Amino acid sequence: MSSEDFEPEIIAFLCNWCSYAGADLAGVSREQYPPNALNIKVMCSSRVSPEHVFESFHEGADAVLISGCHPGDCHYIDGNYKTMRKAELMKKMLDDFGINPQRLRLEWVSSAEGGKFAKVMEEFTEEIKELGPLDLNGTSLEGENDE
Amino acid sequence: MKKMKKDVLVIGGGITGVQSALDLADKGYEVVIVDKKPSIGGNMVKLDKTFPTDDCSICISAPKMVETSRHENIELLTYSEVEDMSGSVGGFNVDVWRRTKYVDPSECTGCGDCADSCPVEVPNEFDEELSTRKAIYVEYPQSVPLTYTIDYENCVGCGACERVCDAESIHFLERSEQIKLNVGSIIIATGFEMMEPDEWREEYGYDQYDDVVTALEYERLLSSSGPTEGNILKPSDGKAPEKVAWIQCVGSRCKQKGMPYCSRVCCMYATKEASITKGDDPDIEPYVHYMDLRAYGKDFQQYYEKAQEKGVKYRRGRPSRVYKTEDDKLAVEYEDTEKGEVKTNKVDMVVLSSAIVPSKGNEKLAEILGIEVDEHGFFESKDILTAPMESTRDGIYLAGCSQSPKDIPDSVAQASGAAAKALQPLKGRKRKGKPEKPEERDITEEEPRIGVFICHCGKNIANYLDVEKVMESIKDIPEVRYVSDPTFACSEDAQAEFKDAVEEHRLNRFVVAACSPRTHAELFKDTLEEIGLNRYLLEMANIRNQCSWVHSDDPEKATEKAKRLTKMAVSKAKRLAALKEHEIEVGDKTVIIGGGPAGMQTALSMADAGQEVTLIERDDKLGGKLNRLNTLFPSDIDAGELARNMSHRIEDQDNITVKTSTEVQEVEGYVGNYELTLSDGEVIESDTIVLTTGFKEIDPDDFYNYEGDDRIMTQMELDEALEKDSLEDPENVVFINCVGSMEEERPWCCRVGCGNSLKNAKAIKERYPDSNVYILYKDMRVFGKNEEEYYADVQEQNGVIFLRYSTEDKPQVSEKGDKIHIKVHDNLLDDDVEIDSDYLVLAMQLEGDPSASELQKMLKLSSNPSGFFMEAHAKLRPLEFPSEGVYLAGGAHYPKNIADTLSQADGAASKAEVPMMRGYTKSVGMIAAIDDDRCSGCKMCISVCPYGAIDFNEEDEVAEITDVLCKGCGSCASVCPSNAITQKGFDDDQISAMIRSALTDEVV
Amino acid sequence: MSEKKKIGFYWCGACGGCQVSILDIDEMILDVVEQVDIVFWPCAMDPKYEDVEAMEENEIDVMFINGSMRMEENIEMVELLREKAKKVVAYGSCSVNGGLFGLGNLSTKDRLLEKGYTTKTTDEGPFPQRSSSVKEGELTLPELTEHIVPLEEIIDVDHHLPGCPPLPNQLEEAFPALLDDETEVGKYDLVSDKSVCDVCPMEREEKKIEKLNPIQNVYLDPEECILDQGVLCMGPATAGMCDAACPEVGHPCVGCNGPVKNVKDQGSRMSSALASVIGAEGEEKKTEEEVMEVMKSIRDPTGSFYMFSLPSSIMQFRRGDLDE
Repeated sequence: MSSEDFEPEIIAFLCNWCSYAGADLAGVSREQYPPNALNIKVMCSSRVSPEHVFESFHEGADAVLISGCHPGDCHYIDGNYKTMRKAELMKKMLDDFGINPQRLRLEWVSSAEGGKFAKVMEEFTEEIKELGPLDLNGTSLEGENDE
Repeated sequence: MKKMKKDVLVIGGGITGVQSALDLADKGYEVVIVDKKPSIGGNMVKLDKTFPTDDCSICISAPKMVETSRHENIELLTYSEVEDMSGSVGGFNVDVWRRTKYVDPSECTGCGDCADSCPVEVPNEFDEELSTRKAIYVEYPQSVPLTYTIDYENCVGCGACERVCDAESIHFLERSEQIKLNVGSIIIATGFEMMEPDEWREEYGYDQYDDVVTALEYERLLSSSGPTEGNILKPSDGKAPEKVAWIQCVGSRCKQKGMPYCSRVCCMYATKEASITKGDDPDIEPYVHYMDLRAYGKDFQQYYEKAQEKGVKYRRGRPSRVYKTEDDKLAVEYEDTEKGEVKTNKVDMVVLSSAIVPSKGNEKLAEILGIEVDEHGFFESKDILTAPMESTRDGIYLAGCSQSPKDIPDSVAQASGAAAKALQPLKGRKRKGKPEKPEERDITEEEPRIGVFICHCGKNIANYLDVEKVMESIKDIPEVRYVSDPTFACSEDAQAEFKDAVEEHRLNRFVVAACSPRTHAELFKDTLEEIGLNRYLLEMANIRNQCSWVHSDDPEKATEKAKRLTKMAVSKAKRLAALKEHEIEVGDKTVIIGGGPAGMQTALSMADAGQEVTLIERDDKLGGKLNRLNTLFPSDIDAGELARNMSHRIEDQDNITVKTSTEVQEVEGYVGNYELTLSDGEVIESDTIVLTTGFKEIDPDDFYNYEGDDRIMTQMELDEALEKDSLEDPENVVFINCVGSMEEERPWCCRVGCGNSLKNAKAIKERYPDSNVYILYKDMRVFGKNEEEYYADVQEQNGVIFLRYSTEDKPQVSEKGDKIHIKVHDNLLDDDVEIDSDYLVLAMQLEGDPSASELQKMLKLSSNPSGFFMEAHAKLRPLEFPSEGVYLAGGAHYPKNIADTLSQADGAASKAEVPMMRGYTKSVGMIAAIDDDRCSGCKMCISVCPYGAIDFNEEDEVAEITDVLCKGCGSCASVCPSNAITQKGFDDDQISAMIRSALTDEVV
Repeated sequence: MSEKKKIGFYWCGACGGCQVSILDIDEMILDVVEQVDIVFWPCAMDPKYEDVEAMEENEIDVMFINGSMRMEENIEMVELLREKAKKVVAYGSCSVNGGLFGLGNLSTKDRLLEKGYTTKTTDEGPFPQRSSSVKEGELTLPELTEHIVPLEEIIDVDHHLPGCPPLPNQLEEAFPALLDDETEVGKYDLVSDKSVCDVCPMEREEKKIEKLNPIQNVYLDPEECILDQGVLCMGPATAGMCDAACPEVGHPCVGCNGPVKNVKDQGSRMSSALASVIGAEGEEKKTEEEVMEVMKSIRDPTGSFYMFSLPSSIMQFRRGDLDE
């Protein structure tokens, strides 16, 4: 697939209080950004487990975004610090799995940052377009029995 | 004309008014908020971030506003003003004039089509007129209520908005109306305005130069939702400045050119703005021109230090003028008081920290309500120290900046305090109980039967994506039994359709693909509840805010995305289960730990509201530090008398049990269920706990030859000496401020030391008029009501001499004959001064009471390195802890003067009374649950829970969640290594289904 | 007395520990032998491929298969054995979760061979050839599989018995149930619902771990939870059928039993748990660099967290397009 007609599939985990609200505000402000990401709302970014991220890649996502409140702003006091550390570990592990850690992005977007949300979407989509599709099956074993 | 009978009227819907209203409404009182603006929110929502935590201001205030607007006991009258009042405490009759918005709030969907079509552009007040808005507008995107308003003065009557409004919510014939309110008490929370800089300080060129802005204007420039989207750009040419200078005290601290008082917040917001500026754009050089840097609050000094480390430069001295130079720069001319020379600072932009002034309507409102304002226009308190929240008339209470300038935590503390006061005249009134709910249908045995609504949102969705195709994509899914595409899913008609569809198809779950669940899920959930379905059987797909609006340039892709979002929602909906909001009874017993002024006031306040109070004090009598202090700053009232007076009132109260010479040894349980073991062996039960453990002076032994010399004493010891009158007619007395403060080991400011030095210096001068009194200080931090004025008096009337020293060059103390020899380098004179003194008074650094660390462990709380408890949220929840049931006030939070202490005490009482008066507290639905059969007791989850909701059951060796304490963040579910924890409503199966559905484009 | 059951043992890519573990049951082996005829056991007998082929369908009552699916031959054999056996038991962590050899999945077959046979760290020698011609004709060697996968991804497995190797106490409990025809498929899986912590005798506190330390740098208190002392212990994320044999003697759990029942991904569970608690004290005051520093103390997270279960995890093997 040439990189020009490649449309990355992105899963975006957004926390309810800041980033989901920021995404809403981007709408209210009629920001325009590429439609590649599909948002999944969680109450707090700390709910996102590596399992969810790995499953996303395994199921065909080209990239995953986790977005929460800015450090110190977490609605649940300190959830985003946990997310920060988890994301760091996930990136290391993705690297070992042969997946470019750039495909996992952690962003702090507040509920007042509609513009930033749009910008993150735009940048991230561009970045992943440049990286190209994530091909997980090229080296997959025959007889592998995925569900 | 409309009539309304309510319990309390709150005038002003800023953060203070909102907090007062919520406190009362949560207890079952009916509250009406009157705000003259179309939306509540006041000034706080305009701010970019808040000091000293840099919290995003709108992010933390918006949820409170939404809660307010949805509260069953709160009525919002926006765009309204109080016109007239009669009656008296317990029965005020208030006339309110509600201006028409020409838009029906029950029909307006907030889509904004009307504003797009409006041809009239006018300056946008919300952006401090740095941008424009239309004649039909909402103040800001998160406005509450989210109803558009036609601004009559600017509307040209073209009717364009009416024609484009699909919801037909615009009615030009709707008229303003008078509303007759009957209420028992009134809270005034009219907030503040900022002084127009040109009123007093035209020399700063605010009117002349575009690039001289007020701090509030700058706040809008910083805000990512402001006119420059958070980019710092000069208004004159839209370019980034290289240097920005803040000028402090513009109109403050100057009798001749403005207001004599300190505006209390400017030093910190200027520091915040400057440090954010530096953080956002490291190329900008920020300067703050100040007189005394008043970083007095909790973590303020550390924030100020950090700003300096970041590169914010501070210049001492009040600038004399701002003028334009030949190279088109703005020159700030000032006398560098540390060097004694006149200098100019050439910058590109000047920000004026303009004085906080009373709201313009205060005087008129005072007249209507029959109460007093002070000489500036702030509402007068009955007593600024002992009754700060009581107006000069019974039944009318004051909170926040309506009374005097203050920051957000002090305002919300007063808001809660005023709420506690406001319920006194309401005794005997019936409060609203738990709302009745229709019976719920048990669906556990039913197969999923899903109804899907794809909303057009007028044209907002339908214009940009193909609703038909979205419907098509899910209509053959076996579990989907009903599909519909209402023009507005939130309309009354659509709610009726929900009901019919359930009856006809026996639906048991719903998907609404429409706008944002943040604004509309509660509405649909209410509908579900009315139909007899559990409110959690709803999933929304956000195909407007996060799809049609943001991909309006590509309808095809928007349609594809909407299809997927809907399929994801259906996939999750298949797995939705009914969730329960767990309740626990909370009775009327409270234990207050610490019998100083904070504890005594909390006890009095709660006892007055009918709670059973046990007040525990370590000493053999109540009063705490009041027993040792001579007088109180800045009113010079007798501290001991206040203590005795409060003690007597406590003795008179039947429902306060005082336990002196007692300490708490053990605490078990949680809200509604505490068990405290006391030092005398007694075990008492309690529903809530309030911590008022106070503060103490640090050990003075290592400072300024204190040890072993009776003439050198701490501030507290001087107070005792003055009380006993044991000083021997001194010739010279020297005070050293900030002893042990604001240094590496203890970097915080003690908040009260400067004031104490002032009042004791004055006391000595008055008692020994011939003596010379010197105060050696770093920054004179007096900020509260009447404090700056007091400082000016002590300088001018009492002739106390002030010498400013720096941390690097501290005073030297030595023995000289029978005198104490003090040598200090005075910054302002740039010269050494030597004094032979009879007494040396040390204003010691203050720290949390040592008992705090024990209590902290027992109650699973946290405290900061200074030994003060860490509250739930520095700005908006200063009197609470993350876990419900424990509250704090006074010095346990941070040292503070009596007015602030009593405000907090009443506020903490109000907070504790919320679950107690409601009789229960309840959890959210999406709490976590632990499967005992899978829990291995690894204890990973326990420390992860920010609310202390997880405990270890030693007997069964499993972790247990106290349902009512869980707030549903889900972090424990992500932590559990053996999958024993699930977060209801966000379990792994549901999240995984959404992932798979998104990536396979199928319902899974 | 009813007829004796016919059982077989087969090893795939394995260290041999599982075979030894069968003998490790001491005198119980006499009871077992009384009930069974061992009809196939390459480690102890000398059967040929043809012998197995000659067996009737379902001739073996219970077939125990251990080791990892490392070679094409393993796959061929287990497929054949599946035909001949009524019941197949995946025996030991290699066949259940891929086992230690599963970490080879972080590389590719070719690179593994390259590293094994050509890098400077090994003696010079011939690179293994798939086939070589000798006087007598063509000799072939089975090829390595591309990746290791759990046995159940190759053939249907009736029961799982992880462990490296399974311990005598597990076998004592397992044999009677496994030999019983009535035991339903999947019913007798010896994977615990609970983790090693459940059976671990160490004193545990609420987890407050500043950072991880290499075990050699810590003087471990023998009474206290090893993870609490800042040394990585996989106990919390590992199925606990072992009576915490390792932690009990002061060695951290390495995760050999694989994930707790119904947990898909042992490594990601452990990483999530550890990342959530590590360095959490005073986190709000920490700079990003300080956080990164804490995270660096978790050395080789993938290798440590997936030591025995990578092939059964979500990602299973190094599968992206990133160069090694």
